[in-house]
Amino acid sequence: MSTFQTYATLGFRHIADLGALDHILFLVALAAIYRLRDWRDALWVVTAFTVGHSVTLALAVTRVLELPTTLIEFLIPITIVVTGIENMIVRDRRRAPWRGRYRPVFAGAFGLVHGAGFANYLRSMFVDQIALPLLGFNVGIELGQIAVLTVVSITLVGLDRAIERVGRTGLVWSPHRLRVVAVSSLVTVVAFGWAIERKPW
Amino acid sequence: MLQMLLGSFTAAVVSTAAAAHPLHTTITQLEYTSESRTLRVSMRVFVDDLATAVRRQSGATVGPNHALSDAAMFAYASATLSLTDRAGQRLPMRWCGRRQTGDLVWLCLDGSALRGVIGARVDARMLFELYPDQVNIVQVTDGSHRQSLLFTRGDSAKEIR
Repeated sequence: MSTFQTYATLGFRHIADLGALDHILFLVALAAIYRLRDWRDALWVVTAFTVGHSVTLALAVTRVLELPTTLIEFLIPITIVVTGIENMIVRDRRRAPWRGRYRPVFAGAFGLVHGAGFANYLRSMFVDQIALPLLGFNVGIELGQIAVLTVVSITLVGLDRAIERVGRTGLVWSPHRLRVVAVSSLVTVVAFGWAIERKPW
Repeated sequence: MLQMLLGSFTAAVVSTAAAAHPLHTTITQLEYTSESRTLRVSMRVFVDDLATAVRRQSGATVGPNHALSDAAMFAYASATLSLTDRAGQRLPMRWCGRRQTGDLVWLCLDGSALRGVIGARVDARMLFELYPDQVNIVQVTDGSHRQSLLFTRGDSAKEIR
């Protein structure tokens, strides 16, 4: 196995591991509003998240940027809470500011926080070279995210179908709106609990 | 019923994942010098993890700031990292010191490999007894030849090619 493959495997394992629930939950929060036909919007948002975390990961590993672990670990669930609340507040994205196209911007900004979270555990792993392992780790993270998002998308489609079936007896909200609120509120509550547990004061 | 299930799920997730997700990884560099036919192993591990593992393995006393004796560290390193040559003979290793920087410690082992390292087998089981998600990376260098080996719990020895 090459160095690149080794670190790509490590990145994939890190994101696809159930122990990495905070990152998985953030991806769930990001994906919660999208339907299969919105895949382009979802791709933009996830790509922006990837760019964000790649930037801080590179800065932190090269020690250009040093961030306090306790603050970062607190901010990670906050990004999930904010995303979950935004999902629930914005009912019609076409009428939202910038027609809802600000989402990739905040996904990128939140990616900066998550990247710092990865870096806090990764910084010590680079011995005599940085570029290749870092690239490998990022590619692994990206592949892991795609795997997680595939599972999340399939689950959300299943949830939509279940809600539609129940909806035949009459629902106040549309099935999609119900899915967004149900998933987002659950994710928000869980992340809020983490934020309290990790508060740095 | 649904509320109860959701409540239980939420409570379980909050309690299990409240702590941040660490990356349990050790990195070992294994460098072979063909001129002298010698091996130099540099194993890097978090000192607190090493102290816990050594205490569990041997019952050795751990001093303040996870201070361990060289003998205890060598015993643990040689019990969890093994190298066997192509004939299946285990390569004996000697202790060549340690260096600590912050919360990381580098353990140094050296030995000789008269037949070279290509075709030899490596097994790296450090800290598997502590963490189910432990990953051990072994980076092998033999002149310009480089190879990385990745070990997770349950893996068997791997060949250097």
